[in-house]
Parts: sequence; structure tokens; C-alpha cells
Amino acid sequence: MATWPSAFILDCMHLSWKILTSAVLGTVIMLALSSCARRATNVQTAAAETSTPDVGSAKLSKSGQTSMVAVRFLEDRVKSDPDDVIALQKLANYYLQLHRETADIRYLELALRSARSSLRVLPADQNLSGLLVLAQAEYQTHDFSSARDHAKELTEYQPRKSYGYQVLGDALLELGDYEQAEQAYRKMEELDRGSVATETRLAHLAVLQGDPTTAQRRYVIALAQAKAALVPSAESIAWCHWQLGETTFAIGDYPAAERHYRDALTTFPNYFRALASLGRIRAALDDRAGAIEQYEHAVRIVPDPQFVAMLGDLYKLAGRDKDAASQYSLVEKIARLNELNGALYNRQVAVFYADHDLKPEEAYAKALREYGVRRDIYGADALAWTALKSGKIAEAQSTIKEALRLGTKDARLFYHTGMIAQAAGDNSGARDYLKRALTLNPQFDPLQAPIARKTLEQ
Amino acid sequence: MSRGLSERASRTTLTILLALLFVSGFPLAAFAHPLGNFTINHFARIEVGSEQIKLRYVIDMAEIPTFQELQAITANSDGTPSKVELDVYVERVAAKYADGLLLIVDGVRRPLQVLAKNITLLPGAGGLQTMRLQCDLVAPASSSQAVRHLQFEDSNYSERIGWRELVISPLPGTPVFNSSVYGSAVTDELKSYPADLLAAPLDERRAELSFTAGPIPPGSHALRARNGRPVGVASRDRLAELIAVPELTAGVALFGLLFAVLLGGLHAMSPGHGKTIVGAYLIGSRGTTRHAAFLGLTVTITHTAGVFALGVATLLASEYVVPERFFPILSLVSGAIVVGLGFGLLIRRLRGVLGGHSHGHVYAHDDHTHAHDSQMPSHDHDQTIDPTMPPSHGGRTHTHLPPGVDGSGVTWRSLLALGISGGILPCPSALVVLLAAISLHRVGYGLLLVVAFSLGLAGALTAVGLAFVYAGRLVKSTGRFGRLDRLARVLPILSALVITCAGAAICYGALGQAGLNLSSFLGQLTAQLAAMSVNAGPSFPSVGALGVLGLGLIYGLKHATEVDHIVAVSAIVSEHRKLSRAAIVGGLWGAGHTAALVIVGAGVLALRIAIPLRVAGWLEFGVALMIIGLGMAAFRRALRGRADFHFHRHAHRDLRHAHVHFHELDSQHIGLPESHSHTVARVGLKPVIVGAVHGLAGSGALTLLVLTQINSSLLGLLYLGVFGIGSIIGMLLMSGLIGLPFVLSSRKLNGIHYSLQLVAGVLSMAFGIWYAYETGIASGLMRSLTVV
Repeated sequence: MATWPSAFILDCMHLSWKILTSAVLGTVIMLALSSCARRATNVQTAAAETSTPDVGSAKLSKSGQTSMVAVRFLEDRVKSDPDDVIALQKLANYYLQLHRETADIRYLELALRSARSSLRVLPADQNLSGLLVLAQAEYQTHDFSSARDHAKELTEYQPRKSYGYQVLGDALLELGDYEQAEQAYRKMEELDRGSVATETRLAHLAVLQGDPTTAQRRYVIALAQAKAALVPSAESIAWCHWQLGETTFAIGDYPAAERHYRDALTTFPNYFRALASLGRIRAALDDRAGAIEQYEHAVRIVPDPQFVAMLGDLYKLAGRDKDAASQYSLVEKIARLNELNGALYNRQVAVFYADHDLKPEEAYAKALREYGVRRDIYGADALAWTALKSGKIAEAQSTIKEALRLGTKDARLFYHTGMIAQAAGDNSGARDYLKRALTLNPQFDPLQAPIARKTLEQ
Repeated sequence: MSRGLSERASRTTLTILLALLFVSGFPLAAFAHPLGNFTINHFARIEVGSEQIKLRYVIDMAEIPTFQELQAITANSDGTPSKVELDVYVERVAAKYADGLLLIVDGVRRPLQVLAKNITLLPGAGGLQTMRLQCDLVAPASSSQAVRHLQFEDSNYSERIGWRELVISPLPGTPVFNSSVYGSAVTDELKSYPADLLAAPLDERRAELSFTAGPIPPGSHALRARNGRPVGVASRDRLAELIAVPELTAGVALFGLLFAVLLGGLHAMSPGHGKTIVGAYLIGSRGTTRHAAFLGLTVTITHTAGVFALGVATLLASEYVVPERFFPILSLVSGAIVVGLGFGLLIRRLRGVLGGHSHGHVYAHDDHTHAHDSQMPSHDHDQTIDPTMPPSHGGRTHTHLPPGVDGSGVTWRSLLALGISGGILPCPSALVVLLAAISLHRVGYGLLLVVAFSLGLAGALTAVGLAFVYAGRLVKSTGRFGRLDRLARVLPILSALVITCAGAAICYGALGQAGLNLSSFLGQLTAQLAAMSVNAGPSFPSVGALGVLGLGLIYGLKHATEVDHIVAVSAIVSEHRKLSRAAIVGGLWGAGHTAALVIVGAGVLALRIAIPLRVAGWLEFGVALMIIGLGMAAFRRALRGRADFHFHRHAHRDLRHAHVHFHELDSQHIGLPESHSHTVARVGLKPVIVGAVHGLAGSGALTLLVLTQINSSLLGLLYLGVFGIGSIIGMLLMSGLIGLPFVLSSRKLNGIHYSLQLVAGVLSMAFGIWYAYETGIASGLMRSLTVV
């Protein structure tokens, strides 16, 4: 009987201990926030430097996946002391990592909230870790301009640290400011050469600039680095495998791409990105049943509209029209929910409509609206493709040039260019681009590649 | 974060989902599903009964999965299902869900039968619907076993993101314990999700628990609600709530400030600074004010640097080690070190004060249990005090002073060396401060605190030095050094005590953080032992019998260390000034305890009945009252002793001396002071009676629990005997241990002794009151009285 009286006494001791410590620290906070702010700045800066989050900065359990124990631990800390800046920063990092692992939107929201809370407690100039994680969270929620501004602020506070340039480059890239983005990445390389973060970013840049060989080389380095990390993150490693698969698929080497995807799934089972990509490979290799199986699995985990649309395409090709129709209508429902929820960008719905010759004017309007604020090459591509479908050939012609301006080697871009040229009556141009698309990646899409082939034959 | 780059490739996911953030700005947001449109959310309430397990299972699908499901079951393509279609659907999924729920009771999978099912479509965002499926399931679970085990796992939609909540709800008369999940819900069966909390969604997929129809085995931890309180017992932690101030008010902050000042002051007296204190002496005897200031400064700088280094190392380490692993381990290790240091210091200082500095006072007093106290101001030996000697040591000189004390004068260099060696060691108090900072994740602030702390330290040290400088002069003129000297002795003891307590608190906190509850750990251990030996019980002559007896011994030993016993005994022990007597008190308590148990146990064995819970409850309440009484007695005695505290000046043979004198309650001055004697409270019936009451009370319930499980009467009696021996031995040891500080302190330091006795009295009163509240009121004993 007397077991929990003893627990009570211990609890009392524990509690009084906590009170004493928090009281002491409370005093210090007060001091720090008023007169001793200068001191706090230096100390916080030190903390920010040592706790630079990077790939795998969120602590991982043995299996390489984020440990929920750690997350609950930090949440408890914040619950008992809502002003615990360091716990808030760490939590935000964990939430971002969890979002990457699960694609669960709630984690993004939690990350944003904890980052903002940390900045409310300690202003940005004294809380660079908080600023960094806020910029990252904004980037992940596709609030690219806020991410860019915060990242810029970060590089002004700490011009000799790579992570500010990293987020800055990421945001600029998404906004279509490729020169500035490249500058930021070069700066990043100068400060932090050979790291996973740097290599993956330069690899992505190489992909956009039409240099898949360099991209693959850099991804291989990044993969090796990710594996050699002090605390390897399964998701990071799987992501590198998956990226290698994506670049390999883009140049039409399907067996090699499949190996990369399977490696990703070995490292991180049920990794939804790799599951879907594997389905695409199965489709490219004419294994429609296998492809459907993979996409169904991916959709079970995350009903991503792109996965859903692809599943609909596969059903259609298999003659399952009713199933296809319900997938297509699901894509539309998701799009509607997104708009209701105030999503900033909705381009894949526009592309979905264009791909399936649905609602051409609505698709064009969506693409146009988005291109107004975000002028990246895929935004241009979406605008050109929807313009073509809604009969605006001239605009399509001029806009697709924007999409090609970096020299990106992407079968889908070439296919769109070829189709636009054909509609404008430029048969040689059409033949040229369609041929390039099909040479580069003969089965780039189960529905669109046959159309490209058919158009070429005509 | 590098996969942010993958935006294009994985572009879809994020874009779609991100918008939840902006929900609040939209009028339609009220209809949006609170957890994102993709989720499938789970809730299961497990009602644990001894005959059957009932399950309330709820699946709440957000808009997208609802749409997917409805598309699949609806004939027309607009996704509006007919009533028949829904009925067919719910029939099918309920069976599927039942298959996906794994329920294992006592190692056997129990098939769940669907009793009732219900499907509701609710309007969701964007003209879409959400779906709520509710099933009531049941599985038979009767068994003859006393302690049962249940495992549960929800494997439905295991890949899909969503909220997953499990709740245990024990039926009346079936207490649940050692449960891996909580006994309270968050979402009201997925009807309202928490919105403001900074908390990742629940992900409870598995549950494991034990339950019983009888009393909960000792040492197991009862089912808890999410706020950490035991389920079913109301308002038990009011005190804890009172203490746990949620916000830092100015008052609390001020209190913290005072605490920091105190810590800094004590810190100056703590082990790493022993030499520095000597330095202060040194300055006191020969130095100047400037020397004192210099010493303080040196110590502060080196000390700050040392602790800073430690702090930076900690910061770096915390980057590479998982925090929830790192903190408990760090805290535990340093807690243990601090406890060790503190306890060692306490013993050494007490001994140093008690034995080291006493004169060889060999004069034969009749039955004097006290010795002389060298630090009494009125101590008036025939020796003359050499003012150049460190005055605290009566007739003896220091043998452990650093160079410079031997009359060669103070050099700046030696002072510097002294300061550095005194300051460089990160001492326990600094560690305490640092750990506090780390444990609150405020390492940066912690370092800041150390700066302030070290400044305080400098102040204290300089003050000590100055005090000695001036006191030295004073002593030379008036000879009144004793007071300061005494202060200098009591302070280190106090600081050692503080350090020990802090260490214990850190250890406990660390264990708690590591998810290791001491009492539950012990409980599990004993429960396992019990299970082992009880199973083997019926075959008496086999190894099982030995197991039962071994268990009895262990139980007995453990039983002796339970808190109410210790408190009761310590109140009695505090009266005694001899270790042997203190131990005997414990032994007598054990004897009384055993006697009561054997009598009751024999009755149980003969008649096969146990003490009714109600009666045991009242006995517990009696124990609580008894503890209060004992505490009051100790308290009163301490105060009375204080009142009678005075000095004697008297002469033995040709030597005049004075010493402290005190009276117990019943003692008087008899005859001349020369023949005085200090009566010591007699070791008597009291502990026996206290022990017997304890034995009668529910504390014996666990013994009886085991007893009723043992089929052989002979074995049962043997078990009782062994248990009794175990508890006697345990209490003998414990009371000896408890008595140690009282005995040690009574030898020399009457002030300390009385404060200890006072503390023991107050503590046992407080514990008694709390215990009475728990056993009498919180448990519903009083209420049951009024009802009946």
C-alpha cells in the first residue's frame, strides 16, 4: 500500500526541485530580457551556431526514423514552459522531419507554430535558429517569398554560415530567380563544400540546367555523405536514392532507375515517393498490373493528386473506365479542397486538366494566375500547355520558350514544345522536339508518350 | 531539408496540403476537417471487465478518404450512396475492422464480435462529406487467474496518416494496472480535436495492461489519466498542483533570486573551496582587505571559466545525443555524484565537527552520553588561546593548511594559486545550477546564470575573507571568535545537506525522465517473483516452496522500507541518542509488526478469510493518526529540549569546565551539577505497539494476498515467519540508518540535534496528515461511512 506514498514524497521532491530550478531560471530570463540582452545575444548566437539543423538534424531513433519519444519529450518541455526557446526550435525541426517522412500536413502547421513561438519569445536577431527553422517551414508550405525574405535576413545576420544561403537558394529557385539562386548555392558551396545539403542542391541545379551527368555524380556524393552521417537518417538516404532514380528515369534508363527506387524502399519501407515512382517504372516497362499495384499502395498512404491522376490513367488504359473516372473526380475534389483551404499554388491541377483535355479555360486561368507570382520554368510550362489546350497558340509559343530557357532535358517539356509547334504549323520543329522527347525518355508518361508517338508518325 | 528541392518531383503533396495553415482566415474553414482532409482517425476505448472485454471503436474519415470509400460503394458516379449501399458497406467494414483489431487476453487471441454498428455522414469542406463509423464490439474473457494480462493492437489503415487514440476504461471492481496507455480520452471519441496545443497527433496503436478482480498487486502502478493522475481517485494531487506554479510571477522570480543568492553563499563553503576557505583564514590571520578581494576575484574567474567549459561541452554533446537519452543519463550520473559527494561531505563534516575538534575529554562522568563541545562560547579551559592560531581548533593546530600559514606571510602568488585551485573544479553546486539549466533546455541562460552565480560567489568569499580580517582583530581584542567559528562549521554541514538533497532530486527526476519509475520498477520485480512463486505454490516440497519463502524474505525487507513505516520509526528513533538503541527500536517495531501479522495470518490460514478492505482502510487511517501523534510528540520534545537548553559550569575534580546541558521531558536536576546525568528516553513498548498497529493495518494486505494463494498452511506459516524476519532485519537496518544523523548530531551539536528532531517531528506530522487524508477521505472511507 505504501508504494505510492513513497512516490508522492519523491514527486514532491521532484516538484520542489523543478520549482527551484525554474524559479532561478525565471529570474535569469527576466534579467536576460531586460538589461542583460547583450549577453543573451552572444549566448544565443552560440547556441544557434551549434544547433544548425541540416539533413538529419532531427534526432533519430535506431531505425533511422524520427523518434516520437523525443518529440513527446520536447512537447512536454514546452507544455511546462511555453518560453523554452531551444525546445521550440528543436520541435520545429522534428516536425519538419516528420512531415518529410509522412507527408502529414499537420506537421507543417506544428512546425510553423513552434518556429513562430520561439521567435516570439526571443526576437530573430537573437534567435537565428528560430529564424532558420521558420524560413524552412515557410519554404515547405510553399510560401516561397516569405521563406526568401527570412533567409535573406538570416544571411545578413550570419554571412559566413551556409544554411541561410541554402534556404535562400531553395526559395529563389522555386520563384524562378535562377541566377540569384545559383549565386546563393555557389556561396553555400564555398562555405560548406561536399555536404549532403550542398551536393543535393547543386545536383538539382544541374538537372534544371540539362546536365544529368553532373546531377547524378552529385547525388552519389550526397548519398555517400548521408550514409556516413553521424546519425544517419533513413529518410535522407531514401530521398537520395529516389532522386538518383528520378534523374535516371529522366534519361530513359528504366532498369537502373528501378534499382534506385528499390534501394530507397529497402532503406525506408513504404516511402510513398519511391512507391509511386516505382509504379511509373513498371508502367514504362509495360507491366500495367504491377504499376497499378504500386500506385494503389502509394495512394493508400498519401492520396497525392498526382498519384491519383496517374492511377486514373492506368485504370483507363486497363479499360477500367469507372475506376478511372472516380480517380479523376477525386483529383478535382482535392483541388477544390485546396482552393478552399487557400493553397498558394495549384499548378498540377491545371496540368491535370490540360493533360486530360478538361476545363481548358479554368486550367489556363489557374496557370496564368500562378505564373504571375512565381516565374519558374515549370510554371511557364504549365501556362504554355494550358494556353495550347485553350487555343492560345501564340501565347503558348512564346511562353514555352521561357520554360526551355535553362536547357533542361525533360521529355515532358520537349513533348509540350513539340505539340505547341505542331499546333502552330511548325512541322519540322514539332518533329524535332517530339523526337527529342521520345529519344530521351521513350515512356515518359503512359498516357502522353503514346500521343507523342502518334503525332510524330503523322 | 534538402528534399525541399524535390519540389518539382514531389510537388504535389505539399502544395495540396499546405493550406491548412490559412484555414483560419476563411469563412468556410469551420467546415474543414480539423486534421487535414486526408486523414483516417482512430479511437478505441477498451472496457476491461473480468468476464468480457468491450470495445468502442470509432473511425473518423476526413473528406478525401470518405470520398474514396463512397466512390467505391456507390453505383451512380456522383458519390451519393443509397441507404442499402451504406448498410451493406457498414456490415462489410465492421467485420473487416473486427479482423484488424487484435485482442489477446492471457495469451489467447479473443475474437471480437460486433454488437452494434453505426455509420454517419457529416457535411465536410467543399461540399464533400466526412464519415464516422462507430462499432461496439465484445469478446469473452473469463478466467480463473487472479492477475490477468491484456494486449490490444489496431492494425486497420495502418499506413494512412491519422489520429490514433486508445483509452482504457476499467469496469467497477476490475482495477487495471501497469497499463501502457492512459485511462482518459482527448477527443471525446473523435468529436473534438485539440486545436491550440503544440503537440504531434496521437499515435497510439498498441496497448498492454494487467487487470485483476482483487486488489492491485503491490508495486504495480495504477492506471493513469493523461495528466498523470491516477484514474478514479479524485483530487489527490492538490498539493502538487499548488506547488506547480504554471507561470513565473514576480514573486516566484524573487524567490528564485533569493535561492540563487543562498546557493552562491553555500557554494563558497562547498568542497572545491575548502582551500579557499583556508585562504580566507589565512587572510584573516595575516592578510589585508586587498588580499581578500583578490582571492575572491581569482576564484570567480577560474570558476566561471571551468563551469563555462563544462556548459559548452554539454551544448555540443546535446547536439549529437538524443536529448531524452542524454538528459536522464547526464542527470542521473551527476545526481549520483552529487549525492555521493554531498553525503560523503555530510558524514565527514559531521565527524570532523564532532570528533576531530573535540578535546580529549577523558574525565569520567557518570553515564555521560554527551561529550564536550569545543565551540561553546563559554568554553573556558585552562589553556590560553593563541590568537595567531586558527582559533577554531581549541588546543590543536591545523595540519592541512596550505603553504603560507606557517607564519611565512601571505604572498600574492600563493594567493593566486590558491584561488585557481579553489575555483577551477566545477563543484557540485555549480553542477546543480548547470543541470537545472540543461534540464530546462536553457543552456545559454544557464551559462549566463553561472556568471551571475560566480559573481555572488566572489562576494561571499570576499565577505568571508573580510569577515575574518575584521573578526581576527575583534578576537584579538575581545576573544569572541567562537560565534563566527561555529557559523563556519555549521554552514558547510548545511551546504552538504543541500547538496545531498539536490542530488537525490536530480536522480529521481532523471529516473522519471528515463521512464523508470522506482516504485513501479520494484513493483514489477516483486509481481514477477510473486507470479513465479505463486504458480509453483501448490507443489509445496518443490523448488516453488523455496521461492515462496525467498519472496517472503524479500517482501519483508522491502516492506520495512515503506514510507509510512520509516516515518513512524524515525519519529521514535529521533528520541534516541545511541545507535544501538535506535536499531533496537526498529527491531522491536519489526517484532510487533510480525506478531500482529502472524496472528492475523494464522486466522486467515485457518478460516480462509482475509481482513475486509473496509476494516483495513480504517486501520490505515489509524496508522496515519498514530504517525501524527508520534510526530507531535517528537516535535514537543524538541521544543521542550530547546527550552531547557542551558549551560553548566561545574568542576570535575580540580578542572572547571562548562558544557551544554539539556533535559528530557521527565528529567530533573538531581543533586549537584557534578553528578548530573542525562536521561535517555527508554526503549520500550512504544515501537512494539506501533509495529503491531502497522501489522494489523492494510500494509499486511500484500502478505495476506500471497497467503491466500498458498495452499499449504504450513508453508503459509513459514512464509509469515520469514516475512516477519525479513521485516525485522530490514527495519533494524533502516532505523539504524535513520538514527545515525540523530546519534551523530546528539554527540556534539545540540542545535543540530534539536533541529533534526524538530524536522523529524514536523515531517512525520505532515506525512501523517496527508496519509490520513488519503486513507480517510480521498479513498472514500469517510464517504462510505456516511452512506452506510
